[in-house]
Amino acid sequence: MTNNPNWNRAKQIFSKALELEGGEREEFVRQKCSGNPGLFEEIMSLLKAHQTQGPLDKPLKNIKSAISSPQPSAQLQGKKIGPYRILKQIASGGMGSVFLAERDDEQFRHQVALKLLPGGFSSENQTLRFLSERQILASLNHRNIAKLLDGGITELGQPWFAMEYIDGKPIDSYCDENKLSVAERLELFQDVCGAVQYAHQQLVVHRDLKPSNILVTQSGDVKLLDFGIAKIMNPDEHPADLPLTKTGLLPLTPAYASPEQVRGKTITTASDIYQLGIILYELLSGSRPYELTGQSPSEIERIICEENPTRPSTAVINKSDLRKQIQAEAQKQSAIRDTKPDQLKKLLKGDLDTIILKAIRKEPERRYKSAEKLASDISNYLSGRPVLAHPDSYFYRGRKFLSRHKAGVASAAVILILLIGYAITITWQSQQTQAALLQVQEEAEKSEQITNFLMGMFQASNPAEALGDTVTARILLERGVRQAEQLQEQPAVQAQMFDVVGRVYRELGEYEQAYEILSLALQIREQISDENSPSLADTYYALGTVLHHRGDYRESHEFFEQAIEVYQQHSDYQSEEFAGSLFTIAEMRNIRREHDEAEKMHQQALEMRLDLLDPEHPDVGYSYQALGYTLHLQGKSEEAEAYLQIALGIFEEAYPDVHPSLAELKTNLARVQFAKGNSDHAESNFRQAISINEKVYGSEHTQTGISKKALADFHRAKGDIDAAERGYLELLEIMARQNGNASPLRRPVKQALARLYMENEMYEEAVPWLRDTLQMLTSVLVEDHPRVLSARRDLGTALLSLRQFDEAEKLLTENLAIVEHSDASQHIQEKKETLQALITLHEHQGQDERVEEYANLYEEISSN
Amino acid sequence: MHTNEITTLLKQHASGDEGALDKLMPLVYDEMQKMARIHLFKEKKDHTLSTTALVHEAYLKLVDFNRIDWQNRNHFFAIASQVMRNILVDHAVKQKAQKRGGDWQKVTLGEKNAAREVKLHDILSIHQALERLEKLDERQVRVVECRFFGGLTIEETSEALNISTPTVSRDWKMARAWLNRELSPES
Repeated sequence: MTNNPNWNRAKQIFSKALELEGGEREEFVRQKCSGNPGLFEEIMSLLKAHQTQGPLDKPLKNIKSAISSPQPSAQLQGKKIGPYRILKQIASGGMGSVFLAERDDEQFRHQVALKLLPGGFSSENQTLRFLSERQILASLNHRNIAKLLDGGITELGQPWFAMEYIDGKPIDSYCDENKLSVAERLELFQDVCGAVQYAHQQLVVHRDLKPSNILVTQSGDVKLLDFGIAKIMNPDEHPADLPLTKTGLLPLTPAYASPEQVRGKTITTASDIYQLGIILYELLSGSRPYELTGQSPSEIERIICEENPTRPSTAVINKSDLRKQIQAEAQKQSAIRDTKPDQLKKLLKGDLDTIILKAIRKEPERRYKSAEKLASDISNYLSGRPVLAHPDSYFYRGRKFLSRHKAGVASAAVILILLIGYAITITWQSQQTQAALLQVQEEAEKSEQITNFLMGMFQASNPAEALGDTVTARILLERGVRQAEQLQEQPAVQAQMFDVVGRVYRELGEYEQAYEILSLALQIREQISDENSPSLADTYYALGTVLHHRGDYRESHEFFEQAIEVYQQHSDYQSEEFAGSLFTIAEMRNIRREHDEAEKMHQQALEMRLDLLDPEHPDVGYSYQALGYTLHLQGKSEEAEAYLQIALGIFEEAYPDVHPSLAELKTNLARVQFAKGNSDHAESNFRQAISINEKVYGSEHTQTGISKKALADFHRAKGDIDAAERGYLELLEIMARQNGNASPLRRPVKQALARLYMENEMYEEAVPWLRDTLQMLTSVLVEDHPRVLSARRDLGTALLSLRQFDEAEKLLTENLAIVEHSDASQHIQEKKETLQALITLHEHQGQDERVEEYANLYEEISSN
Repeated sequence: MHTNEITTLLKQHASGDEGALDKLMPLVYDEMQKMARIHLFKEKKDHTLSTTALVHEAYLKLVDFNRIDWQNRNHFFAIASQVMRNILVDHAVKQKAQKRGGDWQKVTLGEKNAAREVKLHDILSIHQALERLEKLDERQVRVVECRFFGGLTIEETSEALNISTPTVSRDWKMARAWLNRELSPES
C-alpha cells in the first residue's frame, strides 16, 4: 500500500463517487478507472468499507477504562516485598497504594504500613515524587511524624517503603468520638502545629494536610502521615524536587486547598498554615468555611480565591435559622464538644474566630508566619493573654483585591468590581474638586452613564454567549471600548470610560491595549479639561505606568514628569499617584546620577505616603528603602543603613520570610554595609538574598541572577578576582542556556565582567565584553547618556592599552564630540576623563601638539 | 504549571518556528497525562471522562488565554489531539508489555462497556494503521487525530488545521473508510 502513486487520483474519484447513488457509483468509478483495474479495486473496496462500522465510530467516551491500571491489591495479598508480607490494602491513591504488612523473620515480628508505587502507568515524575517522599521521610525524625523504617525496589522495579504503622483514628473522628472539649481539641491541635513546624524547619512543606493525614493513637499521640506531595524547599539536597515546584496539577483535596494551590502558584510553608487553619476550623466548629460540594472546578477555584469565609462561630449555628435539621446538627456538634450550641458559639466568637481567620487568609503573606506562631497564639488564648491576630479590615481587603488580580484571567465579577471601584473613586474625586451645582449635576449624570455603561458590558455576558462559564477579560473589555466609542457627544463621560477600561487593561497586564485606550482618554481630556486638572495628571500617571511596564522607560518618564508638573500646581496636593510619580522620577534621577534631586523627590514621596497610608504599609517601606539607597549613592552610608533597617522592619512584618522584596532589600543593605566596611554582614546579606530568590523564582531566574550578580560585584570590589569572574561567567552561561539574548541581565553582567578585567588591567580579556556592552547600550540609550559615554571611553582606554591606537582615537574623539559643548554636570566628568585618555594616547604616539591641545582643553574645564 | 511557556511556544510555532513544536509536545504530553491520571483517581463515583473533555480542559489549564487568539486556540486543540493519541498509544504499549512480563498485572478492561467503547487493543491497531496511512496522506492522519482522538467537530478541525470544512469532511470520510477496511477482520 505504501507510496501508492494513484492516491490523489483515488481521493478525487472516491469523494465524487460518494455523492452518487448505488449503481451510478460503480459505473462512475469504472469509467474513471478504465485501464487501471488496480485503482478500480482499491476505490471499490474503500466504498464498501465506507458502508461498514469500524473502530472510529465508537466514541472515546471513557478513557478511564482505557487508561486506568487494574488494582493489584487482591493479587498482592500474601506476597512478600522486601522482608515484609502484605496483609491487606489500607488505602490507595494517585501517589501509590498503602498496605498493612508484617515483618516476619525469626527474631521479631511487627506490623508496618507499606507504600508501593502503583504499577502500569507510572510516569517518571511519579516515580521521582515517590522517591522524594521516601527521601523526605528519611530526613524527618519527630515523635509526631510517622517514621520511615525501610525501603527498596521490587523485582518489577516498583519502589516501595515501609513506615511506622499507626493504629489510630483521623484527628476529627478521634476528637468527636472522645467528645473532646474545645480546650482539649486546641491542645491536641498544638501538637499538630509542632510537627508541622518541625517539618518546616527541615525545609519540608507537607502541602496535603487534612484530618485523614493526621492520626491520633489510643494513647492520644498525634502522628502526621503522607508526605506524598510534600515539597522540599532546598533543591540541592533533594534532586527529586523538580516536578513539584508548583502544584497546578497535583492531586489536591479541594476542601483543604489554599488559594495559591488552586491557582497553581508557588507553594510555601504558608500553604500548610492555611491547611492547619481549615483543620482547626473544622475541629472547633464541625463545619468548613466554604460550601464546595457539588461545585464545578472553576467554581471551587473562585470560591476559595474570592469568597470570604463564614466565621467559625457563625458556622456553628445561626440563631435566626430555625430549620430543624440545622438545629439538630448544631446540637450534635456542640454535644460532642461537651457544650451547647449557644455556648460553643460564644466560645468561638472573638479570639478563636480571629485566630482561625488569620490562618486561612487568602494572601499567604498575611497568615501566621509559622506553625509555631499559630500554636503560640492558641496558647495566648488558652492562658487568657491577648492574641496577636487582628480582624481583617474591609479597607485592607479591597486594596488587596486589586493587587491580587493584576494578571491573568479575571472573571466577570472581578472586572465588574474593578470597574465599579474605579468609577466610584473617580466620581468621588470629582466631587471633591468641583463644587458648583451645575457640575455636580453633570457628575450625577456622568455616574449614571457609567453605571449604564458597566451594565451594558455585562448584559451581553449571558451563558449562551460566554465561553463555557468564563468570559475572558478581553471580550468584556472590548465590549466596553465599543460602547464607549459611541459616546462622542459626551466627551467627558467618554474620556472617563476609556480611562476606566484602560486602567483595567493595565491591571490585567494587557499593556498594549491599556496604552491604546488610555491614549484615547488622554486625547479627549487634553481637549476638554483644564490643563492643570489632577484627573488629567492621573491619566498621565496611568500611561506612565503602562509604558514603564512595557519597558518604554523614556516615554514613561515624560508622562510621570508631566503628571508631577500638574500635581505641583496645586499646593499641598497629595495622592498615591503623585507619590508614585515622584518615586519613579526620583529613581530615574538616580540612574542619571542626579542624586541630590533624587533625594528630595524620594523625601517628598515618603512624606506623602506617610500621610496617606498606614506607616507599616509596604509602599512606605519601599520609599524608605529608595531614600536610604539614594543616600548610599551619595556616600552617606550611616544614614542610609538606618533607613534601610526601617524598611526591613516593615517588610519583615508585611511579607513572609521568603519574599522577593526582602531579597532586594537585603541586597541593598549588603551593599551599604560593604560600603561601611562591614564585609561579613554584607556577604551574609548577599547570600540570604540569593537563597530567598532561589526559593521564590528558582536558581536560573533573572531575579536570582540579579542577586548573584550583586555577590559577584561584591567579590570584585573586595578584590577577589577569581570569585567575581566565576560568578559572572556562570551567570552568562545560565543566560545563554535559558533565553539566549533576551535576558535583561545580560548587558549589566557583561559590563561588570568587562570592568573586572579593566580594573585588573586584563585588557585583552576585557575588549570583547566592552564591545558587546557598548553595542547593547547604544541600541537602548540616547547618544549622550553617561553610561553610553563611559562604555565607549572604557573600550577606547582598553584598546589604547593594547596599543590599538587608531580605533582608540576614533572612539575617544567620538565621545569628546558628544560632550564637548555640554555643561551638564554628568558630562563634565566624562569630558575630563575622555580628555585624559586622549592625552595619554597622543603621548604614546609622540604627538606633542595634540597632547598640548587636549591638555589646554582640560585646564579650561578644570578652572571653570 | 507551564502556562506561560506553553503559550509562548504555541505563539512561536504559529509564527512559523517549527522547533517550538518539539518543545511544546512533551510539555503538553506531560501535563495531559497528569490530568488524565488525576481524573482517574479523583472521585470514587464512576464518572467518565471523554478525550474531548480532557483536550478542552487541557486548553483551560495550559494556555494563558489572555495572550492567545482564536486561531492559536484551535491550533492548540490540534496539538492536544495528537498528544492524546500518543498518551493512549503509549499506555496501550506499556500494558501490553506488562501483560507479557508481569505476573499479577492482568489487563481487565471494562467488559460491560466493551461493545460501545474502543478498547485498548483497538487503539493500538488504529495507531498502527494510521502510521501506514501517514505515508499515503499525512493530512488525513491529522484529521483523524482531531476528529477521533481530540473529539473535535468538523468545524473545529477545519480551524485547527487551517483547511476548509469540505476538505476536512472529504478527508475524514476517506480515512475512515480506509481504516475500516484495514482494520476489518477479513483483511
